[in-house]
Amino acid sequence: MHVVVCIKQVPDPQAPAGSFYVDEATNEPRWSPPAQDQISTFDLHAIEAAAQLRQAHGGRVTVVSLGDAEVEVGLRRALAGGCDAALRLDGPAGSSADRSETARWLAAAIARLAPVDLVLCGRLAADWDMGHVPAMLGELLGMAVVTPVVGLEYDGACFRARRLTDEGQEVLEVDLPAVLAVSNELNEPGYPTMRAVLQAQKVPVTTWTARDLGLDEPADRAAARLLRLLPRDLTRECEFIEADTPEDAGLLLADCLRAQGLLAAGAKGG
Amino acid sequence: MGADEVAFLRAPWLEAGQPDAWVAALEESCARLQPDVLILAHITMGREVGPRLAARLAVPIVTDCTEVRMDGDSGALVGVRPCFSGKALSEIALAPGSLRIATLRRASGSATVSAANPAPAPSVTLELSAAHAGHTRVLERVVPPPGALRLEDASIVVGVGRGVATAEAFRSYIVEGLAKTLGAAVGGSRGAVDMGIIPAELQIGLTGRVVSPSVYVAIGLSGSPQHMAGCGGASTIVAINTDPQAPIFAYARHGVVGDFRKVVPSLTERLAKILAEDA
Ligand SMILES: Cc1cc2nc3c(=O)[nH]c(=O)nc-3n(C[C@H](O)[C@H](O)[C@H](O)COP(=O)(O)OP(=O)(O)OC[C@H]3O[C@@H](n4cnc5c(N)ncnc54)[C@H](O)[C@@H]3O)c2cc1C
Repeated sequence: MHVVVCIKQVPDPQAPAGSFYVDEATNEPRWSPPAQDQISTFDLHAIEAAAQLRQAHGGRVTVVSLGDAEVEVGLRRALAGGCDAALRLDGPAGSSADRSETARWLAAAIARLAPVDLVLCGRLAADWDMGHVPAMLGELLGMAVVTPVVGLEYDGACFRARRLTDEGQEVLEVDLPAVLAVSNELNEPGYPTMRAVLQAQKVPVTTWTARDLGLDEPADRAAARLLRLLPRDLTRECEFIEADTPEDAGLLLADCLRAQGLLAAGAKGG
Repeated sequence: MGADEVAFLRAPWLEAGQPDAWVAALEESCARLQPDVLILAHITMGREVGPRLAARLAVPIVTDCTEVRMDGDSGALVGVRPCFSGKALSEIALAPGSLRIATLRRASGSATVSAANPAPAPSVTLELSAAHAGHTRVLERVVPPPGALRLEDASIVVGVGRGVATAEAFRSYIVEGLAKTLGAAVGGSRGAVDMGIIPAELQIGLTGRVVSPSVYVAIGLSGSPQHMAGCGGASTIVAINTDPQAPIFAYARHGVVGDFRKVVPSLTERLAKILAEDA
């Protein structure tokens, strides 16, 4: 089985909310102090899923990332996490508004890596929070799509995926090849051993350019573009209930909710 | 609800309801109806079908919008969507010239359609042609028990976090206690899901469900940006947490610093009394 994992590096999504701001002149997100780039959370779960499948069923895992030389840090981390080969696509890492270019690059690379049985992505990248790429990849490659995946079962013949729906879950039988967008419930990625990290340094990272992939220049007028990025602040002043004991605080909170008219049933929204 | 015409899509293969089928159905309907803009609900189905259709038709898309509008001058379709775990909003413009797709979040507080009986819009029925074979087949479905209060419909939601610690505490203090007394729906943070306190489908947040109740009672959760992305639209947030520095207090209107095991029982008891009196 040949599994391809697509990863992206993003500024630490768990950096404190207060460190985030918007550079209004350029419409760009900023962090002070700077947020460290790291592999996007759900992509780590995709790497782990690929490593587990290979361990159980053999085959090989190729990890792919689109962007400049800096993405090699993430690719090496993925190698240490159980991937066999790493590929960097020397193209524009996702714009702020449009994922079709990203999907086009990845699809061209995956087609060139054929045969591919499974493509694993994170359910969304923890920066612009779009989650378009796995769905778009499935279309461009003519593969099945399942998102977001919280469980996997493979007995060598039949592939089953469990996914979240609006209010519940679904177990699907999935035809391969397929693109699966992985959620965190699927597994718990471990930390690579020092040995694995050192070994990953020795694996060459292959680089493919637009020319290697036979991609022509993108249309110069992007059909989707970012007009404005606006900071959003949901914080407000909190009134703390002061009491001698936590039990008393509970009583006072109840009285406060009544006094504020917050217990009137059926008053949804507002 | 303001539609000029309603088109019903009909095909035997739509019944199974898998995204594959809906992509095919919408592809064919768009070819026949030639719309300028296609708006889908940002639910599990729309979240997958939207980007797939955009890729298949090579047209632009903006998803997870809290608002969409037409820009009069440029003719652009502008979608406003949260990003960076809700710490920012981006306005994305889709240029005219082809079909444009947007997925729209369900508006906060508009769970019901006006009861007035509007004149029915004229309708057409599209009998879809091509047979369709999907790539996935449903083997099993887990759905909420009948009659369960949907998180999105509840006027009061109690959200629990890692601090609630055990499924047993969740059951006794929250499900059988506070939430029952308030008639509230329950959900929680990823911390609570990780601890096995609540099932994954009750997670609230960026990668969970989005609720906008009148009151959100946050118990033993820290208030991460990713969690607030799913409950920051509540009119009033009430927080109970042992840590006075917990970020949740920055979003809350009323806060109690204390152990929920001490605060919640007296709160529940008093609320029961108040609600009985006011009834
Ligand atoms: C890309 C991405 C997507 C994510 N999506 C989501 C999402 O959709 N939803 C989500 O919730 N998270 C999401 N997360 C995770 C999020 O960042 C946080 O890790 C998570 O919300 C923390 O859960 P928590 O508040 O329960 O746990 P913690 O942060 O550990 O907070 C527990 C709180 O409980 C308090 N506490 C402890 N004991 C008690 C007690 N006895 N009484 C009262 N209080 C007590 C503590 O003081 C603490 O504040 C996402 C993260 C990433 C990176």
